Amino acid sequence: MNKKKYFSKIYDQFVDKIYRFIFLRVNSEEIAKDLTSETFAKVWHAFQNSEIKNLKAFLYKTARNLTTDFYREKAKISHASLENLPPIADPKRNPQEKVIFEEKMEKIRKSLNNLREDYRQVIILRYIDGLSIKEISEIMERSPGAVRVLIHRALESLKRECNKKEGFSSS
Amino acid sequence: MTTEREILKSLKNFRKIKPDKNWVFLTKEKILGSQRRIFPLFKPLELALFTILILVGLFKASEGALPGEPLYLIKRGKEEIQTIFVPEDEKPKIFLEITQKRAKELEKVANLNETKKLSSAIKEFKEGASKAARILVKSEKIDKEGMEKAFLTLQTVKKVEKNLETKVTPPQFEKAIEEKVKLIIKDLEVRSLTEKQKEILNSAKEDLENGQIERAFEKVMLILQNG
Repeated sequence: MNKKKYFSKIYDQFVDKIYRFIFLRVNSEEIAKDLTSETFAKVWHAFQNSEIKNLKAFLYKTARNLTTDFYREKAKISHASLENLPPIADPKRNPQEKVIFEEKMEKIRKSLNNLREDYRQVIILRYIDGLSIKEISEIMERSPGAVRVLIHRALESLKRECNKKEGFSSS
Repeated sequence: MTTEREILKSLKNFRKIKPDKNWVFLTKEKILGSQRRIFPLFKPLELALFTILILVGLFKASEGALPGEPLYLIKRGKEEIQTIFVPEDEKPKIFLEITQKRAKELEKVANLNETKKLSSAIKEFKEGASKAARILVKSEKIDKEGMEKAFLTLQTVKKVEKNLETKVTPPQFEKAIEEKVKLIIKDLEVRSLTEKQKEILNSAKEDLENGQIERAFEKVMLILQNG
């Protein structure tokens, strides 16, 4: 398989995940699209000119670095655009349950947004994208042990944030 | 109080966050450049099947095409391809069959009275008959089926010539037929024939000596058909 075909498959496999990873950090569809596009363009360029052992980790690392660079340039964008986010709808529920579900998701999203940057990253990688400890350790450039500790602390922090929010229900 | 389990369950719902498909497709095109296809709706296999279907359809539609019509080129192209793979001993029959087709086309066009098509049809017939003549001259023998085709071709063209009051049969085609008729007569002379057949054969020989090739041919065919 040539490089272009291979990268095309990688793109199809990871575009949703990378977009989501960025979106949950920047909270803006437009910015998430721009940064996702830039991530794949950069990785494709690097992939053509050199050998990349772990393309998946390289993609996430590039996305993480680009998002960090973006934050440096545009401070507070995350909070500024939070109000305009589309709700995460669950089509299986009835209208009343749907409203409760959306409220709950919104609160989780806000709680996630209030976390420290590395906590937020590790929660997204582990519990939303379902990456292994080893994969996260490669992306975050930390030892597997350090990642385990980070996950534990991040989850505790998220729990505290969620319970801070008034009216949160587990229904 | 929210439990860890509830939070983890809720987090999984964030997997529903996805970019729109159009954006995904366009971004891929932008990054990988030459991913664009001539027919973006088709995958290569589908495109191949689509092309085959189009070609089969065109071949089918071209069967009734007449000289001077756009699909006629496809019809002739198909014939050219078919003749490439014909074994040497089958060639006289195949080329006489093609000449017979040209003669029928000429007859149809002559009845339509379309000048432009008529000149094309005459040209096509002349070319076909000349080629068949070259093959006939080279061939050592010709079967009954091939002779029948040659006879029917000659009959059709003579009718057209009478109708148009113009000679269109190439002399080399008539000459080649004459030579074959002579060969058949020679062959029939050494065979055991009925009195009636012998009588027809003698009459055919007379016609041939008098330059009446078509009549001689007709008589020879009569013996062959009843033989």
